[in-house]
Amino acid sequence: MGNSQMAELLKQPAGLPEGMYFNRNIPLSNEDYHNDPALSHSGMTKLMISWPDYWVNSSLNPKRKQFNATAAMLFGQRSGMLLLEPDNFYKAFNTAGRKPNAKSLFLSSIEYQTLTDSRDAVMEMELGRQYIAQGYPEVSIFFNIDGIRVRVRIDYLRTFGCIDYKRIAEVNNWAIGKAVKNQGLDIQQFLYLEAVKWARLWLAKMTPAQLTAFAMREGVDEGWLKDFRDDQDLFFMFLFQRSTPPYIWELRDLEPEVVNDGAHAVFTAVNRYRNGLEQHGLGKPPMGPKKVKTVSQYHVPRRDYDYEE
Amino acid sequence: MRNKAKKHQQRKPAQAPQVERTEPQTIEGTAHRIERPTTAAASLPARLMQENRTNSSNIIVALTGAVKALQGKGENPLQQVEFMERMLALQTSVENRQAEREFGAGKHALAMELPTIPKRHKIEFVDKNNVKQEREYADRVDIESVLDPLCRKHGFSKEYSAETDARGWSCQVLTVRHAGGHKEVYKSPFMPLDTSGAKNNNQGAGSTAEYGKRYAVVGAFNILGVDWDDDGAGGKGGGSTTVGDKFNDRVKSDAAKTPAPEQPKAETPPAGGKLTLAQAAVALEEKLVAATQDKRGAILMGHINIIEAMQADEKFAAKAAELRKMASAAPAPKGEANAAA
Repeated sequence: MGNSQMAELLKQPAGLPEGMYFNRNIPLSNEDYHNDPALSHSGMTKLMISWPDYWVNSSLNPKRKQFNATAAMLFGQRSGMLLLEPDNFYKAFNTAGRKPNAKSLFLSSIEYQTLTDSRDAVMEMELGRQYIAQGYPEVSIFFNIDGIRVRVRIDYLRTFGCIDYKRIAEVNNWAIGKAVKNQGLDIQQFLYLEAVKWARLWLAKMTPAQLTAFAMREGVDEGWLKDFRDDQDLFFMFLFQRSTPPYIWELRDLEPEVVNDGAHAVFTAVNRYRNGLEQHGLGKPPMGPKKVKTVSQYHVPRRDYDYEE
Repeated sequence: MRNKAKKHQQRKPAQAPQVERTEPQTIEGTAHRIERPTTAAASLPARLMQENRTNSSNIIVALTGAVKALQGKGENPLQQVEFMERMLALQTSVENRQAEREFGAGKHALAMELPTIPKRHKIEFVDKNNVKQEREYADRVDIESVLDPLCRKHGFSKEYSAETDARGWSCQVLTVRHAGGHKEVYKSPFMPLDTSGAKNNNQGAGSTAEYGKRYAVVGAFNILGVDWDDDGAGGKGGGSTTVGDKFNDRVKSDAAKTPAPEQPKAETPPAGGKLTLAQAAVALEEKLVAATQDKRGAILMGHINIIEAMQADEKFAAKAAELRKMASAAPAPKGEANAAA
């Protein structure tokens, strides 16, 4: 990294050092991850709209309201937790048939039943069981693109790529396409694969002793880490599951053209982030304009006269 | 508004559309002619053609006005040719862009109405394992019989032509034109003469052209549910082609490698999680020692939750204070550093 890039890094808000975090021995909760000011894929999606949109929703905003998840979102988070990291789920929640823990949240038997139905829809199929196996859930990677700190949190990391679990109202083409655009899933796929590439190089720079120490620190299998580091494949798969019974699910990958768009958006967002920091710093940016703009005819939809009066 | 208009139309289905073509009204005294909308219920292609004529006439009216104005001032209009050429180029660019947008909007509207093409044909062939197989497919007539009415509705026309390369292979070139004026060209892959079966050269050329047209039109309108018939050559190569297939292949092959896939277990922390905290403290100290003084503050802030957990635990409180001190110590001035050295 050059001096200029390092200087840029220093201008950025401080956060976790670059590296992989497996959320096992050193806990890195969802809240800790989201409170880190490094740029994420959702931040990039906001940056593609405007700097104020990004700033207001980022940890740079001191008045950012803590996000109150809706019941549907809570259900989505919990079902993902039960599917991908059941051990952590049972530590966090008291459920029917298990010895209760005073520190854990109690789930009603009805809610627990719906969560297990959702999980079973995936795990009762051999392919589902094969997908969610031989990897690690909730792996965070902090790295940089052109000197800008970025972060990803991979739902399930396999040695050959990532699996991202999404709850969605419908699993048809239109609903999924809409989710790709609104949630920036094309951005996510490209960014996550870049993170995996970076992590492999990062691990490759370690000496054997350092790798052993890292595996111990994170509580992960050293053999798995080596397999991950040396794997030549790099894939990404979305597992979309409908949020209503009978919780049907689909595996989807994105066409190369769609991922290309995501790649362009990632680099544009990184540039916008750099420019935004230069122009506005870490503080609240102006929400109003500095100059008058004209409405172009190309931005005005054509009026439809094709009807009888 | 549109819904209302649609409902209004639905209420009077029997009434024949009254196409009232009125002369475009203009606002006098302006350089450009501004048209008021007519009440005509013109079809989309007709409306687009009408608008394009109007757009083209805009520049003529503007240029004529400019020439008259210059003549009135006693200037030679020919000296202003460059200016007029620029205006013309600008107008052309504007019209092209508009036509391109109309093309895209039309194609989108067509795609929204395009159904899955029914497969009405069946082909029998023997695969590479010498097993007789059947495959259903849609030929070009099936495709175009569904596509053509929609093309007409949305203002598209299609033209086919052919190109040949140095090998003598040919490809079909499909030019899709839109009533708005924009056109796009789609090409099939270059293919050799199809001499399968008992075809003579003329029949082979016809067959190759038919394949090419089918490939071009399927590509141009992204038609689904067709299946690429390859006249019995199916199965060549085989294996996975998409990323999704490759992903599944890896999942299955990895599952086969390990008979009992088991989630790697985390080290079980003892009661209170003190071992976890100890490990975190050691890792954090290593990072701080390895970092330069100016970065230690940022690293500490990044791990503030670990520091807080250490402070809450009396066994680690002293260590936490030590780490904080290490991160907050001011870097030694250059002079002192030199003296110490």
